[in-house]
Amino acid sequence: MAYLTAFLTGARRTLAARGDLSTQVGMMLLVILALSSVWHAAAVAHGGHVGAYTFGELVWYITFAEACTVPVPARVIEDIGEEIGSGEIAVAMLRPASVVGIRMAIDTGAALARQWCCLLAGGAFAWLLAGPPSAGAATVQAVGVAFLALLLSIALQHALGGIAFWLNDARSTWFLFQKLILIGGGVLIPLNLLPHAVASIFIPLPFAAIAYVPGSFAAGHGSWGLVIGQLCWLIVGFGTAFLVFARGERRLEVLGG
Amino acid sequence: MDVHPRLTQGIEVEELGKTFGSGRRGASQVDAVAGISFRIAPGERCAFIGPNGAGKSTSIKMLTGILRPTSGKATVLGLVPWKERLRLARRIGTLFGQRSQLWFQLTPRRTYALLASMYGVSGADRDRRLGSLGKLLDATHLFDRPVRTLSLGERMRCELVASLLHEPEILFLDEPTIGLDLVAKTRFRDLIVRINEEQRTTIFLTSHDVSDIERVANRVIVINHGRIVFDDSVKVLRQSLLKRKLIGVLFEESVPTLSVEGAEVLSHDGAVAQLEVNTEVTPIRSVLDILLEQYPVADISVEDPPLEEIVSHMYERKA
Amino acid sequence: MRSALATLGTAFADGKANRASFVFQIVLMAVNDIAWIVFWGLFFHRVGTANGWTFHDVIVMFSLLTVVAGIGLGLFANCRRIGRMVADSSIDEVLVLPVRPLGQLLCRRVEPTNLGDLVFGVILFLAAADPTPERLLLWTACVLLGVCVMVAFLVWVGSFTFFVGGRGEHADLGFNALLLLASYPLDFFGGPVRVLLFTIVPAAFITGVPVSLMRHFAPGQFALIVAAAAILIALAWSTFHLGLRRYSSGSLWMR
Repeated sequence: MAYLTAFLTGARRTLAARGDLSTQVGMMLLVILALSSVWHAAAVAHGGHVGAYTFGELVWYITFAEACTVPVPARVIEDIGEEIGSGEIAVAMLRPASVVGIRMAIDTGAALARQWCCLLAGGAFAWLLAGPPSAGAATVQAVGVAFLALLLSIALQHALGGIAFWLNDARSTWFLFQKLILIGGGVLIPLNLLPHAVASIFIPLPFAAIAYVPGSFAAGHGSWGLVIGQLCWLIVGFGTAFLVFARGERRLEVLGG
Repeated sequence: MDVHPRLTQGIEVEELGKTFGSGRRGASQVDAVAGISFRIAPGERCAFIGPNGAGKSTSIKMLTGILRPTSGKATVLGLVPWKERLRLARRIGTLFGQRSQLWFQLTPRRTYALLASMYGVSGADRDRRLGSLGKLLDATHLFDRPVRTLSLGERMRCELVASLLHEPEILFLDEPTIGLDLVAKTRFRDLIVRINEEQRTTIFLTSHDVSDIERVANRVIVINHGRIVFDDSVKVLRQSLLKRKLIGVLFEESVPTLSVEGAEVLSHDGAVAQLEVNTEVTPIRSVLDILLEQYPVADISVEDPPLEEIVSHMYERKA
Repeated sequence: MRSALATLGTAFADGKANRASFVFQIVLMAVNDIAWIVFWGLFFHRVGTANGWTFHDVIVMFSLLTVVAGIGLGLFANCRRIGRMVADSSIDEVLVLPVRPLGQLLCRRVEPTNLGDLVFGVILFLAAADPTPERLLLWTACVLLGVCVMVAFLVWVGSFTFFVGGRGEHADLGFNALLLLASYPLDFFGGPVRVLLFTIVPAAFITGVPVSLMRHFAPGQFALIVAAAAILIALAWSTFHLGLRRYSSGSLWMR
């Protein structure tokens, strides 16, 4: 119950900050515009498609990949570091609910609200640029997969963010994480367009489950194998996050923050 | 206008006004300063005071050239601030209590070097000046410590050095004592008086702290809702309005009746009471003595009445 | 001018005061830039050439962009903060000094993160973009003009805050749009977007046109960049100073 309230609070907070939200969505549209121009140029040079993708499929791919990465607050590590420093975490530890659970519920609420805004605006924009969704009715599946991707991203960030319990200056880890998703996750370029050897390294990794998998579903190239991989990473991600926080909180109790 | 030549070297303000708000329609407009006039002679120490939002900062910003007025005239050292800002800036010093001119990560000395180059102060002059200011403000030992490691009181002393480095003829201070503890405040006030006495620097200080006025100024201008409601010497202000002190008392147990000779009981509720003393008639000491001798006092405080109250008294007297 | 240089020196010292974090941030920015180069490498590996652009062109583009951003956002870091500084009246600090405010403002902050871009871009150009003496000269000229375009554009959009209020959000949007659009090959954009890049978001003058100049020099195109820089500087200077006349410092809450 507490988690549901936390989730709703996060969502409400996002929707209330209209200025931030519209800036974020506006920037995403610009990125979609830029990347679709890139793929348009590439598709034109190659008789209408790049590898297995048509131009339309690529636009929908980009839209979903962006809508899974833009909404997640990327500075979880920094935030957790600040919460430890300010003693906020210590206060949260007094509550009869899991610290990391509540935190993730809030972030999920906030991110999901943002994701839906991104999908609505981005979807309309993609339709304008490239026609109706390439996946057709299966786009609904893509929306579901996009939610799983969001959850995974939040879980992984918290697992990584727990580093802040041990290292004071781990601020920039999020930055590297972001760059890894950009290339290794397939935000900028669908992974199966990479040289085969490189693709076969990246596709099984969790970064791919965050951007490449929902993108593929939106382009109509999804497969259940990809979703199973995503679910496996979800279990690993949440497990690690809870484990790291349990250890971290114990450490905080001993050292007294 | 017939102006005494000596006065043009001070500050002259005539019907100065500033209206904020974008529209031409009256509704959204606010008169921050509504036509004020005064003159300050060189060497004066003038406190420009008023409650929060009275128009103090807006006035000081117009006099230093940061803001343009919407009406009226002003000259500072014979210059029109908003038209000749750069020339004026060389001859005045400013210190804004809530804004630092020192670079946070660096030592004050580094900032002083930069300021010296901006104001065209030669290296030799700068060192001589830093020597004497450091001694005067007891700050020499702070010059080589990074600003981030200084306490607020220490930092304000270094700020003051920065404002005085180019030997300004007038020093504008906007809420300089804000956030300082009592000891640091007292010390800072004494320093400003010394600078005025030793270097003949004109002091123009805004504050909403009554004791800033008593300790620093010899002249007071009180502004409220953008208008001047009092302009006279501190002596006059003290005689008429600053003679009251408030005494707050906490007793160890409930006191059924409370009566102290020479003091008026403003409120009394069991173990808590507030009294007012007219220090012109009764010395504060005698009231405190009576209280401590005759009642089980647990805690006691003596305070000036808040500025808001003094200002409202001024209105009553006018009416 | 002398005091602007002195300020810049002080700002630099202030920026690198925390040495560990200074170096770390420079390294991180370089990592970011490398990620982009990797992307374009993979892209052109797949595509060959697109709309006349090759991987080599993108290398030139990135060397220009990173150095322009390194100088513009690194050494004159306040250029993207003008809007915010007007909103929270921190420009008062500069207005009480006996120096010209705009130059002083721009020199007062050095951002170590973006100096990483600068280092990266110079190395990239020298290592991978055929740095013959003539090309180096042209490249340097394009970089300097690009810095003018970028800084002037950011001052211009930041100065809107004088007139429309707010907390400088539109300046942030302008900043993000400029940087984003300058980091893609100009010729990938068609129609209305292309018009945009030559006008409201003048990204074309920072990377697109210079890359084309580095392929074949055309005096007309060079003159175009010079003109764009001059117009933007005039626009920025006049908007800022007009704004200063209307400036209401710290009194924004009264609106």
